[in-house]
Amino acid sequence: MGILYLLIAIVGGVTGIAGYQRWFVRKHTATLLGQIHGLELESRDKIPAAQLAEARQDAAGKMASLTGDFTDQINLLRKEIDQIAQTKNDLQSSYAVQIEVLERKIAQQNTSVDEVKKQLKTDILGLLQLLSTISRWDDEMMKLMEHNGHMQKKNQEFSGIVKQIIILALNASIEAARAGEAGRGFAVVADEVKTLATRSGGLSDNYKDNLHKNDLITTATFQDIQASGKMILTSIHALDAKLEKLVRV
Amino acid sequence: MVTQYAKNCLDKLMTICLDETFRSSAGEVLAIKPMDRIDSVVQKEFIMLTISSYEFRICILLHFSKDKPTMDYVAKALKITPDKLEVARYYDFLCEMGNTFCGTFKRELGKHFPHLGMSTPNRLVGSSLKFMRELNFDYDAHFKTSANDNVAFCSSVFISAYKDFDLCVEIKKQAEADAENGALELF
Repeated sequence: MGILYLLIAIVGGVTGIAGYQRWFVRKHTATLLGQIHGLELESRDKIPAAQLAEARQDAAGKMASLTGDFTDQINLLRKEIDQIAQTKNDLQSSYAVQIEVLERKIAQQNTSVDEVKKQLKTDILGLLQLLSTISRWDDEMMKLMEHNGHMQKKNQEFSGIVKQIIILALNASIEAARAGEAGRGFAVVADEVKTLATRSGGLSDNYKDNLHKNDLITTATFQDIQASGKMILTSIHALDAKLEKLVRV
Repeated sequence: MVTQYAKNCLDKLMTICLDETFRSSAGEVLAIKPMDRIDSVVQKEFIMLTISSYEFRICILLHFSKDKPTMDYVAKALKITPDKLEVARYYDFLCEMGNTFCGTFKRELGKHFPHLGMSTPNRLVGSSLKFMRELNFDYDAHFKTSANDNVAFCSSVFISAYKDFDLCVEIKKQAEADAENGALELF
């Protein structure tokens, strides 16, 4: 316990000594700073007037030199600004000329495009006349079909005649057989007529078949032409509609 | 060359167009069945139409006979008695039917091929049919359309392709479309 009190007393003493030392140093530092300030003021009053005038003159000279330099730079900058302004004016004039040339060219091209549009419109209207051509083909095709039908009828008539000839030849053969020896020559003629009539019948059938084939090929070909023509017309109409839109732009 | 897929699509298109044509022309939906061969067509006459493009040519045929059941059928469609049906009107009706059929076909094809043209109909006798082979088509298909045991129409499609022909048909029967657009029925 006694040691503890002793330690507390020692720590208290040391702390007190340290505080005193700090107070002492602060007090003497302030005193020294005051003395230095006083010495500085005394030194300023002791500079000679001639030296001060010389220093002032020197400073004025340097100031004049700097002012001159600044004036030169300002003049230089003004010149550059003037040059830039001149360049700007030159460019403006040049662009104005170029713009005028371009505007003239655009106007010429617009006129040219308008002419092309008009020409295209005329061409399309001409192409649409294809409809009348298709109509003409239609009429021609109907004539051809009618003609085929007419040939069919004639062939039927011919076929009927051939059948009658065959019957007549058969009758002639029978009559020739009845006539006996006297009708032998007539029987040969009747057989020949029958052979020829049978061959004619074959030809007539073949002709009939060919007429049917003709009908089909004619119809198929015509229909292909007619349908293709309409396809072209539809495409032309579509083109015309697109051109109309273009004209309105 | 016509791809197998395109052939199937053409067959499907034929069935759907036939259905739509008979529905709109005669107000009656007939049974439609494919036929194996053109030789099975027994009708005496046919209406022919063509759809052309720079890529292909398609011929559509509607076969019929000028017999009593067919004339009765047409008279019924025209809402007149059979004795009032003149021959010219009979053929006009069938030509118009062919026109509707081909027009429907063209409309569907037009969704895939922008440049198409269609001919007017022509009537030919059945004897000409056997020469279709000589026109060198790349593919043909035939269908029988019947309303009952008496009335029967046949139809054919022939295609010549000048380029590779492919087709993707995404169409629905009118009945299906009507069912889907149920709201339209309200108007």
